[in-house]
Amino acid sequence: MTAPDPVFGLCGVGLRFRDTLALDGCDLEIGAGERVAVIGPSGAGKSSLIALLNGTLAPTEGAVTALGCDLARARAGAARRVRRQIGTIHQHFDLVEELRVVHNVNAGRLGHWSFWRAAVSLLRPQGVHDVRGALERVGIPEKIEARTSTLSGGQKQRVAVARVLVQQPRAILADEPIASLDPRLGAEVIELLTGVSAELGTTLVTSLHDVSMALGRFERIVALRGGRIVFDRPPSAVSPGDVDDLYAAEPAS
Amino acid sequence: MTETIRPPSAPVELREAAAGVPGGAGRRARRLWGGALLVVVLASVAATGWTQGPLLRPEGLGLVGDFLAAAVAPSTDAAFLEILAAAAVTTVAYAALGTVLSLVLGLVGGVLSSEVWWLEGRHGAARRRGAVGWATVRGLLVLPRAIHEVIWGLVLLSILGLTPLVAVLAIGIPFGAVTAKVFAELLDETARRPFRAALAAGSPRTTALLYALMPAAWSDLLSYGFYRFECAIRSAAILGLIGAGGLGFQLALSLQTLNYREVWSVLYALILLSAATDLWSSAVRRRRAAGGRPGDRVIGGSLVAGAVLVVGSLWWVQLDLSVLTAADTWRQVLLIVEDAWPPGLGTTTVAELVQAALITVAMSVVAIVIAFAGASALAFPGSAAGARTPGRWLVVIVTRAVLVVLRALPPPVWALLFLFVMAPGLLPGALALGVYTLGVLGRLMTESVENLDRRPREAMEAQGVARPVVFCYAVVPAAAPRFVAFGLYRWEVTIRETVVVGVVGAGGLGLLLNEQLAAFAYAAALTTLAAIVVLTALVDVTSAGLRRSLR
Repeated sequence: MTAPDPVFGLCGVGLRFRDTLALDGCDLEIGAGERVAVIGPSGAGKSSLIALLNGTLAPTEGAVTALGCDLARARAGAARRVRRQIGTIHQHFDLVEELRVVHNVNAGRLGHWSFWRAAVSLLRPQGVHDVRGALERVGIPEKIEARTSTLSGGQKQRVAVARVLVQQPRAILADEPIASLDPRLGAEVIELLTGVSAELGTTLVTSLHDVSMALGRFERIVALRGGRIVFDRPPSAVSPGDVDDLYAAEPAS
Repeated sequence: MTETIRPPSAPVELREAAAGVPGGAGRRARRLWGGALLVVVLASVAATGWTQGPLLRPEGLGLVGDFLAAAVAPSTDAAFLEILAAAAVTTVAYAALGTVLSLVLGLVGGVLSSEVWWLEGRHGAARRRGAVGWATVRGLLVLPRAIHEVIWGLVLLSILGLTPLVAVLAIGIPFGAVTAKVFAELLDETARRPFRAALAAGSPRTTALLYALMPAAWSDLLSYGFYRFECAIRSAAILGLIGAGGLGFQLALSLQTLNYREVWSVLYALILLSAATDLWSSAVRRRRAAGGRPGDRVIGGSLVAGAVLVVGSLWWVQLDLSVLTAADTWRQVLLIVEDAWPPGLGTTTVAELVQAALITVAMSVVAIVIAFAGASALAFPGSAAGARTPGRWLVVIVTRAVLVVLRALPPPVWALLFLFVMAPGLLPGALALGVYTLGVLGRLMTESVENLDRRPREAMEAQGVARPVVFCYAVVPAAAPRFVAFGLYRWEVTIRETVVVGVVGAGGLGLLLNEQLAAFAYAAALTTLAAIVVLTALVDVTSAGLRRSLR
C-alpha cells in the first residue's frame, strides 16, 4: 500500500548510544499522505525514531532517507533544504519562552528566510497575516502578542502546531505531542494534526503512549519494543492481545 | 534530556568558584593538597624577608602622619576640583568604551567558543570538524585572558603611544576574552531543545542562534556587562597610573608632588565613583536575578543611561581610530616584533627571572592568606542574617563600610601608600593586594553566610543549644567549604594582580617587565611575559585541582 517513492525510508537502521542499543535492525517505509502512529513502552525507541526522521540523530547502522535524501550524509545545504519541508512537534513544545508568540510561530519558516529577514522580523514581525491565520486555525488568535512563557501547556502546544502550519511542510512528525496535556486537550491536538494531514495530504508520523488514541485515529500502527519493530499493520488488524504483549513487563533475567 | 535551569544572574565566575563546594571525596588527596599548601604558605611567609635593606622606613612615618592628617582636609581648590572632575569623566569614559568593546568581542567570541554553536546537531565528520573549530577558538582566547589589562596597557603604550585608544583597548581586549568565556557558558547552559527544533525545521545555524538561544541569553549578557563596567572603572583608574590619563594619572601627579590634600580628593572621588557603579551594577543584577527583563523600569532605564553614557564618552575622549590603520603604527609593531623574536634574556639573568617569579608567587600567597583570614573574620559580623537589635545592625553597617573602603582603592594605590613606610619588596605588595582582596572576599563571604540554609541552625536553637555552640556546629561547617572555594578563586585573580602592584615598584615579574619595556628590551620582556602566562596557568591548574579535591 506504500507509494513507490516513500516519504521516509529506514533500511537496516541501528542506533547506539555508548553501550545501549536504542534501535536495532529497523526497516520501514512511509508513503505520501499516510497517517502513522508509533506505539510501544517507554524506552522502546519511539523518540529516537522520530529524531532520525528529521535528522536530529544520525543512525549508527543502516540508512535513513527523508524525501529521498540521506540527511546524515547529505551536504549541510542540501540537508537544510529537505529539513525545512519536515515539521516537527515535540512533547515539551520546544518553544523559546522569552519570545512573543508571533516569533515562535514564525520560527517555522526560518529555513526559508535569510538571516537579515529573520533579524528584522524580531523587531518588526514579518508575515503576520499567515501567523494570525495559523493561530486562528488552532484556536488562539488573541495570543499573537503574548509572551510565550505566560501561556498554559495546552496553549503552548497549539503555538507549536501553528508553527508547523506556517512552515507548510510535506511531512509532520510529532514526538509524544500530547504526553504533557490533559486527555481533552490531547484529543483536540490529535484532531488538529490528523485534520490538517487529511486536508492537505501531508504525511503524519506520531509517537504516542496512548494506544486507544492511536487505534482510533490513525490508519497505520507501528509497534516498537526494545528498539525493534514488533508489528506494522492497520489498526483493524491489531488485537488486544497484541497490545498486551507489547506492553508486558520484561521477564526478569 | 532535562531542561537546563536558567542561570542566575550572579557573575558566572563566582558560580564557577562556588561549584567546588560540598562532597566527601578523597581524604588522602585532601591531606596531600593540604600538606603542600602549608609548605607553600610557610615558604612564602619566610620569603617576605627578601628585601634589600631595612623593611620599615621610620622616616616614612612622618609622611604617613601628614598623609593621614590630610584625610580630613582634602583639597577643595576650585581649579583643582575642575581638573579632578574632568579626570573622573575621562576615567568613566574609558571604562564605558572599554566595556562596550568587551561586550562586542565577548558576543562574537562567546558564540564562537560555545559548544552548542560548533557541536549541537552535527554528526560524523561535521562534528569532528566542529570539535577542531571549538578547540581552536578556545585556545586563541586563553592568551588575552591570561594577560592583565595593565600589561596590555604597557604593551599598547609602546605601540600606539599616548592615546585614549590605549586605555579602551587595554580594558576591552582582556575583558572581552573573559566575557566570551562567560557568554559561551551562558549559551551552553541555555535549554538546547528550541535550538535543535529550529535546526530540525531547516533553519540556518545563525538564524537558529538568533531565535532560540539569544533571547534567553542576551539579558544575562547585558547584566553581566554592568558587572564588567564596575570592574572597568577600577581598571581605568589603574591604567591612569601608567600614563593613560584620568583619575589614576591625577593621583600619580599629586603623589609625586607630595600634595596629600589633593591625593585625598582624588581618593574620595575614586571611592565615590566605585561605590556608585557598585550600587548601579548590583541593582541591575538583582533585578535581573529576580526575573526582570529589559522592559523592567530599572533595567530599561539603565540600558538607556548606558547608551547615553557610551555616546557621551565617545564625544568626550574623541577616539582617534586612524592610528590603528596608520603606516607608522604597523612599522612600530614590526620593529617590536623583530626585536622581541626570538625571546631572550637581555641583561636579565636567569637567576633574576626565577627570583622575580618566586617573589610573584610568594606575594600572591601571602596576600591571599591575609585576605582569607581577615575576610573570614569579618564575614559573620558583616552578615545581616538574623540581625534584629540596633547594636547588631550597627556592627553590620560598620563592617560593610570597612569592606567597601578596602575594595574601593585599587591594589596599586594601596601599594603606593604602603611604599611610603616600607622598602620596596614583597611585603608592601602582598599587603596592598591582601587588603584589597580582603574587601572583595569579605563581600563574597558575607553574601554566602547570608544565603546559608538557616534550618539546621534554627533546629539547634530550638533544641536549646547555646549560641556559640550552634555557631560551631551549624554555621562554620556549612560556610567553610564555600569560603575555601572563594579564597582559591580569588587566589587565581590575585596572581594576575601581583603583576600590577609590581609595576608600581613592589617587585616581582611586574616590576621586571616594566623595567624591560622602559629599556626597550623587547626580547627579554617577551620572556618575562611568557613566564607570567605560565605562572598564571600553573596557579589556575593548582587551584582547580584543590577545588576538585574538596568536592
